[in-house]
Amino acid sequence: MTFSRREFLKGTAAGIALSVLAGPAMAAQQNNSEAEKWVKGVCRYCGTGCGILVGVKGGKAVAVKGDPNNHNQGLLCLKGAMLIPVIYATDRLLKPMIRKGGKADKLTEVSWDEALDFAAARFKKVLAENGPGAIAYYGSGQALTEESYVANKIWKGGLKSNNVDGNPRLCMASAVAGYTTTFGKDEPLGTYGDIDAASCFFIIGSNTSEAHPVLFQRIAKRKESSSKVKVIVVDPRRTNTSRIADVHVTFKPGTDLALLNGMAHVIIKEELDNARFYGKYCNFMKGNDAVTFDEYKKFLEDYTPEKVEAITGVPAATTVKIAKMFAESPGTISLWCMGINQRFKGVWANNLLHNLHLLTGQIGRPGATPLSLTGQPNACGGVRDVGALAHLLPGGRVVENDAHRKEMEELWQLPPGTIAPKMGRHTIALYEGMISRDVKAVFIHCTNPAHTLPNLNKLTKGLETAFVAITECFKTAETLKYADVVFPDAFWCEKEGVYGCTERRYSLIEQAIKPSGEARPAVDILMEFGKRVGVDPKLIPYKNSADIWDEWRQISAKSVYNFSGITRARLKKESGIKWPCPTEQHPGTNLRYVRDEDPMVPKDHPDKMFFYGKPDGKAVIFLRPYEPPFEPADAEYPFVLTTGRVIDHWHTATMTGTVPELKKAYPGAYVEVNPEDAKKLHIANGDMVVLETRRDKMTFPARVTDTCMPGLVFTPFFDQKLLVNKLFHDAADPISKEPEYKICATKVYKA
Amino acid sequence: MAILGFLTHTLADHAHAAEKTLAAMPELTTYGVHKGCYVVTVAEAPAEQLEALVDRVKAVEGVLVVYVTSFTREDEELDAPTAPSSAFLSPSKRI
Repeated sequence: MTFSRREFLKGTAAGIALSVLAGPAMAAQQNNSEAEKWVKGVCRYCGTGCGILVGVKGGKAVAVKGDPNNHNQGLLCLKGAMLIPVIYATDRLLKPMIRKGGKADKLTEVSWDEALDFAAARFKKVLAENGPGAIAYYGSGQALTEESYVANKIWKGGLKSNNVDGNPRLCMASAVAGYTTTFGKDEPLGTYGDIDAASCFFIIGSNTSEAHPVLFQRIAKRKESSSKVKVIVVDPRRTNTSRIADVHVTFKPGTDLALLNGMAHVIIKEELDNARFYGKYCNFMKGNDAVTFDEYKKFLEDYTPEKVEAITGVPAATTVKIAKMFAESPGTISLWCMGINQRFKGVWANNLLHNLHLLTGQIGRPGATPLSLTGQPNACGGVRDVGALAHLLPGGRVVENDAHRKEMEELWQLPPGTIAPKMGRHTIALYEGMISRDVKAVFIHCTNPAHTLPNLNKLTKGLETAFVAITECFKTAETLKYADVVFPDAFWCEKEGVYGCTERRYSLIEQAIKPSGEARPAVDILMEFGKRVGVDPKLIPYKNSADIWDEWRQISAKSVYNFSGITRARLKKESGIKWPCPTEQHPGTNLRYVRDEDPMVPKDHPDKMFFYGKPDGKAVIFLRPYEPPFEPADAEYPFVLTTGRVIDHWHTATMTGTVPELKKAYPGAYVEVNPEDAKKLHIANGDMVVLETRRDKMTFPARVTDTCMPGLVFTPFFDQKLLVNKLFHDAADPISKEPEYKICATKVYKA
Repeated sequence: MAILGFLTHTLADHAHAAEKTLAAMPELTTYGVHKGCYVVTVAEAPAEQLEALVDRVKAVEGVLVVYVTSFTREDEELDAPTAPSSAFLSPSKRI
């Protein structure tokens, strides 16, 4: 019997697929393709954090497959399955470059020494002349944990500048503030495992099927397992996610705060609330003031289903129905993403979601939890936990807390008073600071703000004059147009480090291959840069990223983020571990704040739940009134514009755009127009349509589809040729400082 | 030629009919129906055809979702077109 090599490869592919069904034990035995070795990693794209195995042959990455032992149980989405071509894309940056003659000059390839000295000299000059407030670091939820940790330490501990922020400010800051204000500490209570136990899914502001496809598969699988499992999708767009919904609720964009309060009203009126739970574990508050349950109940009288219908357009009966489904289910899980976070009142929207769980007691047991979905692969582990934002310090500490600064100065062995007592500039303030010339030099790492900032025509102005150093992997990044120095970063499995995904799971990306060209791991770049700017080498004494991890791991033991048991050796052996994890024997934590589950809750604590981030151990149910979006549609600009992802592209498409077939699927942006609106405006499928806002106007090809409800238009944001964020305002949530990307007013007309 | 391994998730009462339809496609090899609703499927085709192929799989009666489990392009030039695209994980029908 002959067995060709192609047949062998096909048999291997079938074996892997089969093994996924059989479960991890069998899947682990399927490492039998022609790859010489399989190296463990994590997908480079979304916050789902799927485990990946990279097949290596002859020093080259040749294949990928899902890690059967990680939470994705061997499954990948197509973007993740096609990461290999991205590594070898012709668009990779392979050599350092500088503009010797200023912004008007061309980027010229130079040696590493010249590039590092060029950048360091400029930063030193700015520091000497203008002080630490004039320099900044702008990082990323895609950077490795060790990179963000060391950058944070260099800036806040070494250069005495708290101007450390990053793109998680644009996507997750409202979720952070939501968790912190309600529960006392950031990061979700539950995990993906709750999906398998939930009986009701409340999905709001998330197109899970396109933005988090592997999680959507898990939801669909749970839904199919029993007719008793129900799915509620709340979204003004009829996305693929809504196609598995038992109830799909569309509403006037920006009015969901009223809907969430309306659900709370129904829950109390119908006596579906859990008074025993909130009586024991919750306080009621209006801002910083304590209020009573009766005051809360009275507040909700403004949100009867009928009043909510008048605000949102949601039929009163629908509000009643979904409130009952939420409360009466054996276990309800809420899932949300940018539709809730990227809002002018994003923190309040997060609070109102948490309210529903606290009112009903749908929390703290398998399948009952709020669980925010994350947009980037390491926004949680790498930025939020590490504290690489302007107001944060590592492990949930905050800059403007004397005791927290003192703790970090001791842990980092800094002289007292080293860390500046005032928070640094959040993202919008940082780019406004460049416009006003108060910020004169910025180090941008692993992100593309010239594509992703809101109100781009305004906020990129400062990049035209500030000194801009960038670490980047791809030549196509829009921000390179403003770069004075470009450091080529090693990409993904060309370096080693940790990613921490949505469910508090830390997984290791092991180095599978050597960096392309002259690219170097960013931790090396950051440390070398820091030393040349004048940071004491003793502050950054690490030989490699494992050393950095070890320090951060040990430091975490002094906080409720304690993951000191997650050693590098464990990460190499296991496919991700969920913190808190205080000892090397601890298996990781599924249910946070629950006694006998969460090791941060004392074993002898008298109550089952303990919200230890709050002074009195109680979570908060907030009175948060409905407020309209910053820029609602009006007579002059009668449509609402919203943006989002498509399944085949990720963020600004610097990676997915290098894969021909992904690019072919979505070669450019478009605008979705409802058929009713299209008819009124005489727009046909494929016509060129102008979107005109108070900032700018742009032309898109039309897709006439009932995906959007009447009055709403949608366009994806990945397209570098159509930078849709030029159309958006830069108004941000007053608490989280996260911009409202999801809603602005626009005119729509045929070009 | 790229090789893509995936699970074709079908409605339980359509699984065997769907497998027959998939097996009849020359670019596909099927490896049986498992757990009542999953057809283990392998596609082997030039990169430029795979996208349309995945769409054809999704269009088969009873097919709900396609889950990719592995992808290899070991034999391909690294700068050549590679593999399929499209909203492969989007459910094609209401569950």
